[in-house]
Amino acid sequence: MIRVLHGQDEFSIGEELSRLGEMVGPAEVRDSNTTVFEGDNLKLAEVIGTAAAGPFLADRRLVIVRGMLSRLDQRDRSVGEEWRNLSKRLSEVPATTELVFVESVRLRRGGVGLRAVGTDADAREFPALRGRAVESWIGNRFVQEGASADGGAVSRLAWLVGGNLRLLDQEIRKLALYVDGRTVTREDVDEMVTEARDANIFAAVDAVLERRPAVAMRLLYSLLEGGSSVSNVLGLMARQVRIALLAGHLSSKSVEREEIGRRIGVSNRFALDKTIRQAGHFSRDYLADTHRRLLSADLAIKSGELDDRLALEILVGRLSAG
Amino acid sequence: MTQVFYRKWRPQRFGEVAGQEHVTRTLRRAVSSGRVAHAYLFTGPRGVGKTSCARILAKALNCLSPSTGEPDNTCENCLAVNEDRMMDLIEIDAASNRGINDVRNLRDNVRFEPVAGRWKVYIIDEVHMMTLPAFNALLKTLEEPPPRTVMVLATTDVHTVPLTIISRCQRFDFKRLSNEDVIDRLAEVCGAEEIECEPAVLDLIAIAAWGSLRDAENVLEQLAVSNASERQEDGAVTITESHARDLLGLGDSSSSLDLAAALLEADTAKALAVINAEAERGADLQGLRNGAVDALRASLLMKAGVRDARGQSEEMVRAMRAAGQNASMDRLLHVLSVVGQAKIRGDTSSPLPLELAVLKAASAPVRDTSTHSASVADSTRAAAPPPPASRRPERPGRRAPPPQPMPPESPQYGVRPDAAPSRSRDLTPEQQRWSRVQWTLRRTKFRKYVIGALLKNAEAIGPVDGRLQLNFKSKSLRENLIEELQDPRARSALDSAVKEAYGAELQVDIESNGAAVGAQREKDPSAEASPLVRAALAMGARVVGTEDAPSGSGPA
Repeated sequence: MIRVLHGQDEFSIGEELSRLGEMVGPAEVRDSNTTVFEGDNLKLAEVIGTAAAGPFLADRRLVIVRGMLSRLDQRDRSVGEEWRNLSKRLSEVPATTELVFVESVRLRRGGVGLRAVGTDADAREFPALRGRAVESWIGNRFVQEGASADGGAVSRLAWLVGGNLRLLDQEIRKLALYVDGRTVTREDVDEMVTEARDANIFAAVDAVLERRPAVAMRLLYSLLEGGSSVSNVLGLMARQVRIALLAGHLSSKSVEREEIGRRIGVSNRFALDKTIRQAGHFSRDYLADTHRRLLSADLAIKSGELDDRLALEILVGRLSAG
Repeated sequence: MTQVFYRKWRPQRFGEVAGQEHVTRTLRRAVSSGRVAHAYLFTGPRGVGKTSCARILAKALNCLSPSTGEPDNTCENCLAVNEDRMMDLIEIDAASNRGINDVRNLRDNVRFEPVAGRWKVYIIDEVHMMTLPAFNALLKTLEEPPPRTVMVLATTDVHTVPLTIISRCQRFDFKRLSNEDVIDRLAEVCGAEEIECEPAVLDLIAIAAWGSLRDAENVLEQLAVSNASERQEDGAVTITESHARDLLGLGDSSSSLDLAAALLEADTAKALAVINAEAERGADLQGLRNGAVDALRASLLMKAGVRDARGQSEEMVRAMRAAGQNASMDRLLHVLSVVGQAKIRGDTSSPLPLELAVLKAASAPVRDTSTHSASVADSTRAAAPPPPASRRPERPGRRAPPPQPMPPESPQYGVRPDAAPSRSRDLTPEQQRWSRVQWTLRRTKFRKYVIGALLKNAEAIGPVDGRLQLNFKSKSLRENLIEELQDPRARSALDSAVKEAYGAELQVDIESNGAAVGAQREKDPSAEASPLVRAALAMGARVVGTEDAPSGSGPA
């Protein structure tokens, strides 16, 4: 069988590959019946030769070829000429072999890459999940893990982690174990999910910029007691102010929201929303001044002028007190 | 050989791990339900139980009769782990095994089935120390480790671990332990080790350890060892509060509180008196300073509106609440940063650094209103870069502009700040004028010497009655100037510089060791040629004039 798995959701592609791996046979024979090809100098003859071999003490043979169809799609000149005849050679692949082409990008429908494998191939797209699709995926995943989550927990998790399914999968497994049969709530998510703690940094920066010293100091201590180090907190604050500055600049140039996220390196919807909101609330000069103060605190710590914790406390006190 | 406390009293069951309920609960259920992840990442500050949890997990997985996910600590496998002889528990210190070859070795060995237990557990400690190629080599193993293999990565610095590694592990964030948790645990250790403590000792240790149980147990052990000679009849060791304060460098609590309160109340005399009294009785002034900083920190938290000044004693909270009532936030931050910066490292018995800090703290806080001069340590310190508007990106390959010539004459005798020497603000008006003359002539040279450089060695007195008197530090420098002034251009440059700086034409008298020579006058070589005159000059005489010697007589 010829299969094509393409798209940005590499976690789901990985799961599909695992499923195909199980079709090969018992775990003991899987390794000897699985071959993975990747790299720039792939020879078609080598791939077809491997795929043409029968399985060894197993039901099937699994041959995985990574990244070739997308190169054909992009008319990459470094691809060997023989790959133009891929569709003709595929007829040599026996029914006992699963020949799987894996691509981490979406292949164009009707493009060279998909045409090369012919219409008989089973091509499946795995697009990156967004919005409701992520929430739906989370809900299903909890069920798979034998747990249930209320709506608040699901939306909180989607909001915090975004569409990174690999990370979501880890968090869901952890939460399912933590609650041990009861329904996962938003509070459980905040207790167990790392991103929930990082989210406090947004609140802390907000409190600092909005000059609410009590809130800022409380959040600072919540971060430190949660296990964050002083340098980590300082770094996160500085990063947040810096990307808010950049986001403000890009917004003023009427750059699209998605593009802003791409340029400032923030893919998480929740983080991007918060950053753009901060950029809109505070002037550029104010943010730049705050950023310089963070730099000075860092200098004071690194030059040994002040103890790190004290420097951070004074900084947050000064910034939030105005 | 005796074991250190933190190893001796390392938790042996998940239930004994303090302050990490969210982690232990999940791991216990993972073990009991058989839903163990193939890779874990334990992250958090030092001494909070990461490695201990990893070892308990290894034990629980291999325990022959586990109960609700807990190891029984009696079976052969549990004992093997406890005694560090379990072959299926491999602990790797990534700080010293950080390269790709180390990971290759690991990959080669990971394929082998467990020997004694059901699971092979790899604990990679300080994983953030691995090189990037090593991380990349580890990726595949982490993603699909062989069956019955669990990898536990532990780190204090998760932010330096690649995201590709993090996303392949089930991550647990360990928290700092609360003071209560640390105190409870220390109390257990004290009971088992027959250590008696005064009530405040465990509080002090917990505050100093800041959530790290290992640090706390180490301090307790140091205190116990240092007081071992004072064992009671029943064999118990007693630790007093003053011992703990000495070891932790905290100083006397009431003195620290008095100092902090005096600083907040801007009572310099009282603050200096506290320092003096402590210095006289030979106290550790670093401890005094540390105690005062802690007290001020408590005050800051209260001022900021944090209800409980976390980790501080009741006594301190009460005292600082009263002292901080009338102090503004600005004042508090100013005092805290000044005292925080006071360094008493080399000589902890010298009160000077602390006294200077007190005097500095007594000055009014400089309100940081500029948009760019923001320093956390001291608002007056110019640590921050200039604002973007004033910064021009330097073009590569472009040379810096040459120094600008002296600006035109300022309306009065004042010296332009950008042209004058940097110390100009400390000079008197007369000195500023003289400094301006030096600056004007700083590159003027017609014969051998730069006039400005020579003038830097002279003090200008006057002007008085249209004359400016220059006193040189040495005779040779004076003579050098006289020699240079023999060039009419040099004399003209000096005259014009003096006129420019003083606003009037002045006659310049050049002196050295009391000898004055009118620079405007011609030097009379015949007078100084005489050995008698030279001897008189050397004895402090001054040539006031020359007369021709009567014909036939000897030299004058």
